[in-house]
Amino acid sequence: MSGQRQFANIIKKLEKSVEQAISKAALRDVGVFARDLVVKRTRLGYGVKDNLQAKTRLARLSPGYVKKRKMFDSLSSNTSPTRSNLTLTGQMLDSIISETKDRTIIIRPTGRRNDGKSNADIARYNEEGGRNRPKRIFLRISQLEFKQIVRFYRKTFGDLLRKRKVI
Amino acid sequence: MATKWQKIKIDLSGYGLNSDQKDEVADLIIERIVNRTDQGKDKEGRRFPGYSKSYKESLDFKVAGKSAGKVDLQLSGDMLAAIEVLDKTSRSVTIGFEPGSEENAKADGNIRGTYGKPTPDPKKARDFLGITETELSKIIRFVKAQE
Repeated sequence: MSGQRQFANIIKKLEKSVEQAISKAALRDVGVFARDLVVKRTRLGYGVKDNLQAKTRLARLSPGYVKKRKMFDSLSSNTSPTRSNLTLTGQMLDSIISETKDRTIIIRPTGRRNDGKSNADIARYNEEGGRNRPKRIFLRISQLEFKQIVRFYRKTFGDLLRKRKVI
Repeated sequence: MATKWQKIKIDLSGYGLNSDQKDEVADLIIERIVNRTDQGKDKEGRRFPGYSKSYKESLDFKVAGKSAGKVDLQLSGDMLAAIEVLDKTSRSVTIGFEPGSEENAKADGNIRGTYGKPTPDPKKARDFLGITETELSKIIRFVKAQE
């Protein structure tokens, strides 16, 4: 193999590995950004019924549950007795992480709580609802959140990074 | 007073831009508006009035992780994300919010200083939707330089 061709191959390999490294870093950062959006929106009291739909207010809490929350000693400072934001102790939303696998970002609750229950089970319980319990679906990305994620990507890794002189 | 449809029409005639370039200019105008707002400045480059005491003490303010000193009009971030190109003609682009949307109402509250009240308060207004001649010229020069 000629020296020139060998060099070209090395450059190609280098380009590929740089591209992969950038993609991994980009995915990780985009994942953290998306995770933060989901947690913040839920704490503000909004859910998203399906990906890329508009956010909607989470169903109100029942009067009985509000009463129970008023008596609860360990109520998180990120909620109030009447606020419907999937926060009692705050453990479930705090446990949400983002991870990347095969160029896919996964946002999910992790681990166990003080009471031994799994945070994923608590999230599922809220999302699925029950006979007298409305569904509170929150582990989705809304249309406007998607726009925020795209902008974050463009600004941090994409074309907007190159255009920052004018923006 | 009813919510106003918040939009701005920007005259792009006389610059010799083709259709793709107008798209690019519109995109960069939106980015400029979002970036400037993120820096706490209005459409003239002046600092936004500070947040009210009650807002700073609210649960929304806390759970969104906002800082009292950074007035960037972002709680969920959805209002700024909702700015879009509403119309493009051979002479101009119109940028703003979908009429009747929740985000248009939020923008209107900020721009006119109504914040849910019937009367606007110019002292509390945070008019972020606009672009100066200097900013526009800079964007157009940049887009044309890429020809």
